[in-house]
Amino acid sequence: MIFKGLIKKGSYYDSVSLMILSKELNKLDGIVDSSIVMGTAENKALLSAVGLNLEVFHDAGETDILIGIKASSLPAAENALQKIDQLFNDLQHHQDQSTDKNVHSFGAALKQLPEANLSLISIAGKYAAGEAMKALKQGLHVMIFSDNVSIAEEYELKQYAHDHELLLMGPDCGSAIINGIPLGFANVVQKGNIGIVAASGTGLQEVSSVISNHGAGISQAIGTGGRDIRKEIGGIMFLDALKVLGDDEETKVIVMISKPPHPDVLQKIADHVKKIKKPVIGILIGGNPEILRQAGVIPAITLEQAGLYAAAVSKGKETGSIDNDLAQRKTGIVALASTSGKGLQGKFLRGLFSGGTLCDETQLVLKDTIGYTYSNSPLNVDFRLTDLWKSRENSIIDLGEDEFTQGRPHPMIDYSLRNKRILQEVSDTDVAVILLDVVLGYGSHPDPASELVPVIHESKKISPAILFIGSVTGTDQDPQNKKNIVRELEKAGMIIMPSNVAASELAGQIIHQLSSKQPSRSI
Amino acid sequence: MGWMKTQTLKQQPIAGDDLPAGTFVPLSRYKNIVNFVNDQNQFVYITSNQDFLASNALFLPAINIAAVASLAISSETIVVDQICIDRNKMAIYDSTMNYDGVDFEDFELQLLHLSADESHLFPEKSLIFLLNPANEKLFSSGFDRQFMLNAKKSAGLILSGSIVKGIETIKGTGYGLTPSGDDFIAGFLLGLHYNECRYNIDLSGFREEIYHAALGKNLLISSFLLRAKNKKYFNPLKKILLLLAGASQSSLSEGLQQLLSIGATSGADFFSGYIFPIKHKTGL
Repeated sequence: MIFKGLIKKGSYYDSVSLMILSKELNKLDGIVDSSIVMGTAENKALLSAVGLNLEVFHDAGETDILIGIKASSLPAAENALQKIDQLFNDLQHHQDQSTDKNVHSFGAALKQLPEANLSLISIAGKYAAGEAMKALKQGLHVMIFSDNVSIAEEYELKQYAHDHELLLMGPDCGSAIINGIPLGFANVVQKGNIGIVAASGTGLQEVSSVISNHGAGISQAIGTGGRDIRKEIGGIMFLDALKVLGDDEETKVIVMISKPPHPDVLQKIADHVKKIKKPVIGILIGGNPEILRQAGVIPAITLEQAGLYAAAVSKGKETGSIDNDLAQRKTGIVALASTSGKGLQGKFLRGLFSGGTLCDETQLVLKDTIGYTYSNSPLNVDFRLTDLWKSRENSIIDLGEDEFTQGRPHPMIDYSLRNKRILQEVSDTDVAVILLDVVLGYGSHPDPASELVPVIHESKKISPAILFIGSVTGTDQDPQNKKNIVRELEKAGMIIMPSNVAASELAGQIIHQLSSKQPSRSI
Repeated sequence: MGWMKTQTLKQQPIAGDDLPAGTFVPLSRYKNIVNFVNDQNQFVYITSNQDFLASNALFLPAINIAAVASLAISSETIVVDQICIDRNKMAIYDSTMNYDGVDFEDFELQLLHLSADESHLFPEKSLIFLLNPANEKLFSSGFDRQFMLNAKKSAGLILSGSIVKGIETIKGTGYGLTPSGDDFIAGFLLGLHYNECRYNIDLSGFREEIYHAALGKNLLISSFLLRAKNKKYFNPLKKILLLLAGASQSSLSEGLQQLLSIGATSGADFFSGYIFPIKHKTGL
């Protein structure tokens, strides 16, 4: 056996990061045992008992971090040391960036990269508008990741951007792909001729992934921020983005994604679309698409359908066969539900989502099979959960909402809250099915399977009959690799459907069939 | 989406009720907390999250804490970089915990229920296994197992009456920047305070003895232990205790999740330490 040790002197890392590093270290090939702990005398004594109190640690102090490795060979030990050093450096680099040590102002950032033509702003919301205006005045396009920018400021910024022919994406814009570069939470998709304008972050991710997974590609994907389609903003950026994509030579097909806009804004969008001489596919999640249809838009009902339509149209194909395929799949899902639902003990569904738009879409799908579901962001206000931390009957929770993310990273990055909630839900004997979304891409957790698989196993110990259903938003080119993630989750017993809609349809059918079998309650 | 959270401007700045005075420099920075130290080695932290308040903390909602470079505290003002805040205009975080009027039996019943039936919510490798052995299986590496055996030895010593020896055994051990054992001891000191109130006895000398036995060379931890010895309650713990003392079950899970989300295992170790002497009636 080979023993190696490393000290990080007087370094400050948060405990969660140290625990993650420790897990990473134990996964490396040839590592028999390891530890990452503070250099207290007492920890050194514990390390001695397992042979890991190495000579190199003798002078380490209580505020130093000790990394001990027991490996099967010298190359494995050296590789692990190198790897852990790199992980620490990455962490330090990340911390340096997060504490803004390198660049203290927009001006300094611009000096570092004078050729920049887009500024991505992710700072405390109260400062974001001021910095965004500075960037616009320097002639830069802007993406504002931050939320908590007032609607008056948003209007002012967008009006300025519009007057100066610049894009102002956001505020609260979670996703965009500009000139092939993913910004915020975004997936690695094929380059192509489909342009997207979206007032929905995960909507953009789901549609762009579907397009890429069906052999088509994206020219530009422009996020506008969810409030752009409200009356107060008037769709300024949605309309400008449509114009940009309409004028863009590389873009041959346009997809519009949003929740239902204010009627006045919808009318403006419809009027604008009439002038575009390219096919336009539109999805208003939960809205009536009739006005778009009249404007010549190809309306889609689900995000998946929008992506499939766009992929087909971009290749000069008809969309009719897609509807047939989806209808056939629905029939198949009913059959699959009757086999998958056999042996389930409970009767309720609990959906735990990291993507807000996916959560909305699921509730819309379920409405047709099992009716309204309880949620922190319900379709019907009567179904708002009074206690966010406790589900009722069929509940679909958006864990990306503000109330869950204060003081912790977004659930696409940090799975701990959702994992705990899963264990909480499966402990309820009335729960039959857990429905999840898994969103891949830049910004998201680097290995969601490593988080979910142990929780699925643990859940099955608590409730052996529990059924996990989900979908994976992303592509095989994403850093996480969709194919690998799907394989790992399926191996753990989760049913992975090709889209969020399909997963929701299956979950809804199973619950519907289970409820049909329940004896009716006499009053 | 909650990627970049900011507190609204309507929120009032809040100062802990036991802030040391002096000129402070930054010591370490984390996502929600920046630690500062003065030339007397006294610690103060600024937090962007009101839930993390403590007797030596400042909650300053209008300030981007990641960029704060200097802090000066006097009895009249708090100066953060170039911003001067009148202390009279700040709210005060009260770190004391008053158990008067608490239905002790019900309180303890709920507390033990949390450690027994909700132990799956506690992070793996936390010291909750001292209250619920089912969690022992989550310790896998050589150090993990050694740490677990050592913690069990410590618990055995405490239960057999060799309390100070038990404290000396667990101190400084475990994971994280504040080793798990030290978090446990801080909770333990506050659990003893509960026992004092519950049984109307004075354990101040005993707390003092435990505190001195637990002291190490890490000043940050010493400061943390001192506050626990002096019955200063950290907001996440105080919040859940107030809920146990009378609020609805529905908010309890929220409080528990908040407490357990502190550090990798810190919140859970701290809470385990608090429950342990209550469960075993230590000090009586």
